[in-house]
Amino acid sequence: MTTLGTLYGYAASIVACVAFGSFAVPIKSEAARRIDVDPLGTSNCLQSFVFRRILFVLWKVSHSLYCIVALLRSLFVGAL
Amino acid sequence: MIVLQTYKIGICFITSWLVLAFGVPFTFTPWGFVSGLFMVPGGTAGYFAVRNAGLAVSQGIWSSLKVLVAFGWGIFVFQEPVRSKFGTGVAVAFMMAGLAGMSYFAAPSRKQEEGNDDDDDEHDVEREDNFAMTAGEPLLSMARSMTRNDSLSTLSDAESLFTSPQPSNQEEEVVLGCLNHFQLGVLGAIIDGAYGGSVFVPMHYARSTDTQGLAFVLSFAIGCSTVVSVIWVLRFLFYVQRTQSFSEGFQSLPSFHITTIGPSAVLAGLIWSVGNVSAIFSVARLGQGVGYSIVQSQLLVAGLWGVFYYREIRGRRVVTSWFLFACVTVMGILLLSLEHVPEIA
Repeated sequence: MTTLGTLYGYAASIVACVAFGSFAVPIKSEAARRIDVDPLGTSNCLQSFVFRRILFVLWKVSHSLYCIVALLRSLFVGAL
Repeated sequence: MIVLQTYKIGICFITSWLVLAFGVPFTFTPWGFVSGLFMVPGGTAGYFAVRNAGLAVSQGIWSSLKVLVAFGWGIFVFQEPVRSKFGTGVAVAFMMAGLAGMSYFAAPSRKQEEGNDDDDDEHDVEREDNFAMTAGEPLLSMARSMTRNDSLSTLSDAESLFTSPQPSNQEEEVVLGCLNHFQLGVLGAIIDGAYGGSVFVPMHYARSTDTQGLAFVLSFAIGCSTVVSVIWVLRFLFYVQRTQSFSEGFQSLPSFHITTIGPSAVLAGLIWSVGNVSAIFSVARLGQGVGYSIVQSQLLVAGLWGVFYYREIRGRRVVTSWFLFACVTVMGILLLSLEHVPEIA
């Protein structure tokens, strides 16, 4: 049987879909499209050797986070 | 990209305090930082993916991967109750196929193939920009606009790799380890999908405290704001290192264009914040596997904007194919909701 909480959950999902699918629409205004936000800057950073190193470190850190979470979970499940 | 991220996350941070008005007590969990670490670098990796592997392939990979990752966390890691794991897997497969199909048929090359009534380059670029925005990712549009101004238009080159059997030298060039531009872009899309599908996973681990559900909104906003701030600092240091001057490094930071895009970006941030709170609520009620997977159907709404409002997806065959895959996605959502087992209060 569907509970009220579940129905709220589905309603929230629909609202989230509509909001996430539409939030970029205001940025499509003419004023926003006429200018280039952050021209070339991010491009240069992203293409730079330094950024690639940062990306690599972030990747390693995130991977470690995954491993820690998995380890904690296995320990937690094992303790039970 | 960082400017729009800052607007988005900044508005999210400001509005997140409104949950206190709804009787949610102020609580904070460091797991919010973990969410921020998933979200902000994930978005950056998505940007990187578009620049190097192209829009269609990147979006197809990350949108379907987010569903798969959320499903994996919910069903296999958290053991969320479903009527049948097989049935849920089938539903997720429908959603993944639908999302990938929608991405494919909304891709600029498909549009140009069918709706080639205006051939000049300017219009083509404009249509590509439109698609990028309706895809729900302003950073994609940013990638486009930067490509237009960048003499090294890696995005266009990477996309031509998809349509042309002979990749250019630039894409074949090994840039990191043994990976070339295109492979690096695919890796970026995979990282975005893996991270994006894991954004609300930390909320599960905060369940033992009072920080679950709407109460997690504050922790999430604080975590994401901190990560964005760190990125600004890193960027500032990057410019300082490059210019060997603190003042020049500061002046090299991008402008917020407050008077021009400010109002639009704030409104976009507000809409995104509503989506974010709803997504957190949805995951709290329906679980990671069902709730977050359904939220990923945002591509459907973005595509509908493209079809009916901006008229970017043109040509009868392309539009029909897009709707066919949209139906597959909706079927996946319906199947997934049928598999959900409501919690007994």
